[in-house]
Amino acid sequence: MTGIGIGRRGFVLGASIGLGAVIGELMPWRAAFAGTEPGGELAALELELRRGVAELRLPGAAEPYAAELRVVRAESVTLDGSYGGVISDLYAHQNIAAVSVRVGSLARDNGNFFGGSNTEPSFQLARDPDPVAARKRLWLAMDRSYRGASATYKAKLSAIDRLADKDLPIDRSALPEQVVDLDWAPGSTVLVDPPAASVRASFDRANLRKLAAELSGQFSEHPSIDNGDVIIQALRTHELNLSSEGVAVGRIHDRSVLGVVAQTQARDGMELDHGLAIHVQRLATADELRERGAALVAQVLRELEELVAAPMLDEDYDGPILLGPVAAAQLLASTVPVHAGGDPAPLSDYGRLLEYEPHWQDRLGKQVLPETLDLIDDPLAPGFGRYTRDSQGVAAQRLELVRAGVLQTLLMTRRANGKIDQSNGRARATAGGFVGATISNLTLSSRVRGLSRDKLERELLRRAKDDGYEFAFVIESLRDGLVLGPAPRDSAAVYTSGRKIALPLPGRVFKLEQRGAKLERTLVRGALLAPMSMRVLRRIRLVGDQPETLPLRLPPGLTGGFGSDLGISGILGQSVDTQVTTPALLIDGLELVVERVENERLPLLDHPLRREP
Amino acid sequence: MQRFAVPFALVLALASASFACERSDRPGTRAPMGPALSFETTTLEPQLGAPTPALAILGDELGRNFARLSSEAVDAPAYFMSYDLVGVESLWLEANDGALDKRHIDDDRTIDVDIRVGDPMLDNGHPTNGFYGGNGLGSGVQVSLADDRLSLAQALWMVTELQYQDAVESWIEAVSSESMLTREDEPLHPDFSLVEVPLVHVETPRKLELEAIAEQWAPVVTKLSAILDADPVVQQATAMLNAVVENRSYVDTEGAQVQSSRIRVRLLMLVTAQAADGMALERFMTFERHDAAQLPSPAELEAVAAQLHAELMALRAAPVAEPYTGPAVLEGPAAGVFFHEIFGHRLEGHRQKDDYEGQTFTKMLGQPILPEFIDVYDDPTLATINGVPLNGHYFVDDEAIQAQRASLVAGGVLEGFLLSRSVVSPFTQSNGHGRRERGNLVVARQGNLIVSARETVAEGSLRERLIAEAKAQAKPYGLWFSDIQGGYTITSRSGPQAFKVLPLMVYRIWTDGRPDELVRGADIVGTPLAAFETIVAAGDKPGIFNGMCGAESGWVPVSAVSPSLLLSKLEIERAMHERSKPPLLSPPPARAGEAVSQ
Repeated sequence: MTGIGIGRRGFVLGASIGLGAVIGELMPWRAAFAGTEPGGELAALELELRRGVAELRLPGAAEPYAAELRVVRAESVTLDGSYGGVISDLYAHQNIAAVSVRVGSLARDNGNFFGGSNTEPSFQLARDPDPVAARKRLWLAMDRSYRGASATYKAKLSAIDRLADKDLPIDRSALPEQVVDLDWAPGSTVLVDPPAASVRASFDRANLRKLAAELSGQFSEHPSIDNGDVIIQALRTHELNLSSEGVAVGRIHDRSVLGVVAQTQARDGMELDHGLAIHVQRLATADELRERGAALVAQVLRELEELVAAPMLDEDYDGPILLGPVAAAQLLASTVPVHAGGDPAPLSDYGRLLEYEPHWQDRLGKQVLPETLDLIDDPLAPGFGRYTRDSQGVAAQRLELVRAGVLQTLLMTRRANGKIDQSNGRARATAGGFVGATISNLTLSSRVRGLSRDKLERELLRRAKDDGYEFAFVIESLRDGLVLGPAPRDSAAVYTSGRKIALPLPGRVFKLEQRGAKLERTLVRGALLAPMSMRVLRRIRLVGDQPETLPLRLPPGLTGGFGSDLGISGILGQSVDTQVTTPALLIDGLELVVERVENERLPLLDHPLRREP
Repeated sequence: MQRFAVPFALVLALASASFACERSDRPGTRAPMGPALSFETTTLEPQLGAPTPALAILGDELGRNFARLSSEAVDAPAYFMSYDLVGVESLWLEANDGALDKRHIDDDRTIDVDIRVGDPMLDNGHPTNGFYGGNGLGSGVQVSLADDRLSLAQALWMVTELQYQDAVESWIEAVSSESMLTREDEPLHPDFSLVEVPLVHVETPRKLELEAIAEQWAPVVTKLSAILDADPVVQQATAMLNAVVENRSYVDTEGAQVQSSRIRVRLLMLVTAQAADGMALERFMTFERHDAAQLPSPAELEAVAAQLHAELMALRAAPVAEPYTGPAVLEGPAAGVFFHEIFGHRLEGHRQKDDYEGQTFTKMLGQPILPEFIDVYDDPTLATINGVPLNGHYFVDDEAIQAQRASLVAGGVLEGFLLSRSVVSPFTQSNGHGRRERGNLVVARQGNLIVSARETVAEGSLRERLIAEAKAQAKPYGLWFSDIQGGYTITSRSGPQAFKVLPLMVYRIWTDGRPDELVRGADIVGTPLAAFETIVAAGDKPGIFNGMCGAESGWVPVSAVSPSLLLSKLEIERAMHERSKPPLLSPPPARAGEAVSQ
């Protein structure tokens, strides 16, 4: 056994983000813009933001035209149980802000440029709101941001000057409306600090600690498993996005996750892991997690034991594959949020970095799915991905991304591309401060009736036979890197080139064969999904009749999607809440390949649960 | 290049003196001096108690796992193993700009698993080209906060397995590497030394009332940071209190059992600003104590904060120093830091064995390396000097060896090295200086490094002696260093055996009677052998520096004690000078009561 465990044990250390008590003080929004002396911390910050835009100047440098400030007050607990003990019990309280000064103009500014100076310095805020300290720190941070923005802007203009094709989209669309939208003061048109009562989180910490120990104690009944943890995190954030252009969007998010991760080696030495999580949008108590948590631990351990006993995939396979609803949702979450993104390829000193351009940007108005399928993203619908206004202050709206297989629009923030120059409210911000486009409540639906599972599987085998196979494969789930982090084997890493997308490892893959009248399923391990093109989604041949909804926490932007290896430490701070609803998908064009792996020997020492009495 | 930061040095007020001076004409000749340096010391008795369940669990698992890994069933049997379980509870209070930013209380527990494969003469701990770590020694994995047998056993199983793999890999590499090297002209240094009588030392675990400390000190650090921030040009004004209680359980396969406990309380103040020419400036001070009750009173701390603030403002107005060679005085604590950086690190045992190290003093045992009136020793058994707690105090080192005084230099002659169980020929046993921050491998480190003088001059006469020395060298001024931030020294053989020390408060002491002049932007540079030769006088008061020292085995608490030293020749060069403009906008409105710099 090697390569597991130690890395796992480090994960909780980076997980803390906290939240401070705030004493509310009202400040008229218009008055704030008019320069009234600040009372609360937010008003003080806004005054300084506005002063910086109005007065920061360097000789020969572009002037600021806007500035954005993001403030996160966060409070969290992280508990890690392992084999009945509690390895980690952390409470954190963090108050962080980051400011970004924009120089130039909406048409051309310092944004969307790789390789420039740091234009978004972050700084700490006081534990309890302190207008004087906050304003001083913003003063220094804006100074740094402006210098960085000025240098980046010059570098960007120089890079553009070297381009043959200077027909670039504008950098930023105009703000559709000024808005004050604060969760802690609904309907208010004035800037208000959050009231202290809403700021302090009440965590069920002692009971959650007992629960982490108790659930992890279930591992003692599974001696074939080498290592594992039960991790519980709860996070309350007050997040404010403030712009000098007239946006103040304040959100309170309560999030919790219970993750179970387990690792072991198969008899041939292959290192295997498995992990699942329960995501909830409140500060969960031990009582409400206990039953589901116990079931989740049992499921992870049972499924990992099944995987240990499973045979290796014995040959590569390029016939049709059936993705169960969970795997189908994970496939869509690995592809659509990133490649339906509207951000154009960023500029650099070497021109546009076209490899970072989402693949569907050149498919607007063209077929991207079969004509029987629609793809809707609706943040206003009930669901795990619901929101009413994005982090840039733009109102959320339902999007028909794909109608009858044809791509209608993209996931747009205020960063314009060559074809769409308006936001449609898809700028999602993580608690950690990263802003990017992603989905909300994504639904894939069919205009024709789907097939039952049994019919789908029989049709799968029939189509496989046409491809020369006496068997086919069903993927029920993909490996959840959002919980597990990077795969434990180097050989499991999938590299891509060109316009191919690396997909997560398959989690549970079954070989499907017909034995007489019965269909027989055999779990296999050691299968990789070969990198796919987005064109593969046009080869969804059939869908099931039972759609399922999968809540997911995805990092937004170009590096987001279900393929991101966040590890459970990063989930709450580096992701936004989304969901994907889809039926099972029977698809051509995906390829399962045998993982070529050199396994390590089995442990020399006897695991405590495998010792002779 | 090794970097040894001792980041937080004490400040002593600039001594003014009116004694007549007797100058020395050149390095090596000096005027007669007075009596030997004297100071009062105290030691402590450990509070012995009963073993916790952790010791028994560690012992059981060690026995079981070692039986397997030392058996014929494995190709490369281990010959030594240890488990080192460290639990840490800590409080972190931090205030900036007059507002409290952090109030964190945490606890965690880690395990370090050390495995040695091969034999004591050549094992996986063998020096490998200046690289330390990843060889089966040290691990630092988080484990259960309580003594849960299964949870601890599972973690120990997992980490031991991984550490053994690394140990075997490193040992094979060491054997292969040695087979290709010539060693005829070198003494053979064992990689490890065995202990015949293992230590059993069981202290009562200790606790700190961290919530109570937080309640008491949160308003204090907030006020201190407000005092530091008493001018809008101040960019950072930090006051921080860190209280840590560390409880350790150690067992090894020779039979040692150690249960030890340690409390550290640190209060830090830091204030920064920029000069008009862009140079970044800072002042800081730390107080390191064994208990929060030993800290200065809030009123005393407020006075220190005000002094730091005033010194920073003075630095903003001070001229930039010019490159200079000439006589200088290192005030007590600064001299301690100077010795710690330039001298102490070069006497650490592992540096005498690694071919990539400069080995400045390796073959100089029995030879003079310092002026004959200087003694140097390291004594972690000392708990206080002249009533001031020493940060480098401990009872047992991190290899279950009792702390003991190590004589390094006597009468200017090199007598020994700082030794862990990885000893240096001709020495065969550790002298109790094997130390590490959890998660790292153990190497020899300093504890309480003490520079003593067999002859001294009155502290108050050093200023006049400095002026006399400067006049003798036809220099317009001498330099007085009252505070040093830290520094770094190149011990790697691939580079020059040079050092750079970063002073914080430097004064020109003019020979023509002009007032002393604070300057900024100077670094001390030189080579160790040449620098120490020029020590011509020592003061009669010990200056005490307490801080943390970072090196290959992580951060460990240390002290450095020295009298003020007069050197006939010291070189300074221009320090890094950032030219960034100060903030473009005027500062926003200050807190009520703050002054405004013009």
